[in-house]
Amino acid sequence: MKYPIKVFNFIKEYKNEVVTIKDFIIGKRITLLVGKNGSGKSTILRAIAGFIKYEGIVEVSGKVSYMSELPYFPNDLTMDEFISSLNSISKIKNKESNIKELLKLFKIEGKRKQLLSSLSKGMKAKVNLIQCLMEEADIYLLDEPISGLDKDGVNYLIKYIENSEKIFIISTHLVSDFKDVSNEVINL
Amino acid sequence: MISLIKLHFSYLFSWKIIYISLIIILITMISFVFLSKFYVDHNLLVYYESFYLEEYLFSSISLIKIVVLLQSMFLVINGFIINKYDVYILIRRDRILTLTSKLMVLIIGIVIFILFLYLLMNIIGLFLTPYYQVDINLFEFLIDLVIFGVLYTLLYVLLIIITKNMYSLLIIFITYFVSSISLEYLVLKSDLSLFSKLLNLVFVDIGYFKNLGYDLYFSNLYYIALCFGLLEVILVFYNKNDIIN
Repeated sequence: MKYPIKVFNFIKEYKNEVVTIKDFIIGKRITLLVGKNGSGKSTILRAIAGFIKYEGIVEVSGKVSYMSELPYFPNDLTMDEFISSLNSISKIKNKESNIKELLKLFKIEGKRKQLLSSLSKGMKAKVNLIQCLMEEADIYLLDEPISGLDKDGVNYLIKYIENSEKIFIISTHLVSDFKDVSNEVINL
Repeated sequence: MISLIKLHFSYLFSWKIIYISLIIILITMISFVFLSKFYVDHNLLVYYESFYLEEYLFSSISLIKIVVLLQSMFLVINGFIINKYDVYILIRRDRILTLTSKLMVLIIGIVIFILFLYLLMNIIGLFLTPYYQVDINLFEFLIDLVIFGVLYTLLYVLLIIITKNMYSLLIIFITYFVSSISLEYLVLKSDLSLFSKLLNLVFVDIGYFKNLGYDLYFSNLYYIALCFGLLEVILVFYNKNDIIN
């Protein structure tokens, strides 16, 4: 898979603004999308994930997994129920041991029985990240993954990305955190 | 599909939602008890049995319709505004399957709720009053009520998918009241005003008609076809709209 993502003539019209994104091709394993607020970082990730309608061409080769900037968790569910319910609907189910490993990596295995609504912002960010990483995919789209994460959380994520062989596209304001691992930076 | 339905059930019918629904059922049950006029002298209830029966049925059915509309609105708001979890499912499954299973769960939920209220109305009538009798018209009423509940649930879903605003659902609720007011009691279907007939094309109410008893203005088949039509339109809009803004 040489070029997993190609974007041409991309325009997204919102109620009060129009987001235009210059053409780009992603060919490297770890790509950072950077830019000012409103430059379209989240918009392009949502378009790649197929969540929004737009004008232009977005070609995606491979299965995509996505982490939204804000969590949209269902209320009144424990972390365990949430994660296992998502795993149950995946076409390729992840092994329980892999999920456990992810929870261990991000140091939240002890919170499995806790209600999602009672988790701290940082914990919610980790669960949001884990639901994305546990999905078997070719391309992982992470929208501001370090917002809410503490220093350790950021390090665990970087370690995970480094050790993985999958493609990661990460939108971020803080290039410095990923500068050592990223292969490409696209300025929107 | 089964795993998707299970997921929607656990997301949409958490214990909090079930408790709230049970409280609504309890309050409605208490209302049925008082509407049954169980406290009125037994001889009086027997002497004027047709009057008391008619009054109990009319008040209880009016109450059930309003409670069903409110419960349906509550479930739709919970499923589409408060819990916006679709993003997690859509990365794993396609849109049509996701929404179809979600609608199925919502419809099953509202039908179970309707069955509870219907049973309570009958049980309270049978056990607390000397005048109550179950006739065939009440079974037909149950079918009408299920169609009524499903149709309004689909209307709510359609509007919330288009507007993404929970307050917009009040439009449907208010239009139901207009439809209900325009539908006169104990008239022939043919005597209804054109305005009422037009409203009942979509915003149906279960009226009490001369020679027919409780019934929908158009045939059940028409409203079932309308539900399938609405389902189709909902899927089109869901496919066309952005999932997250």
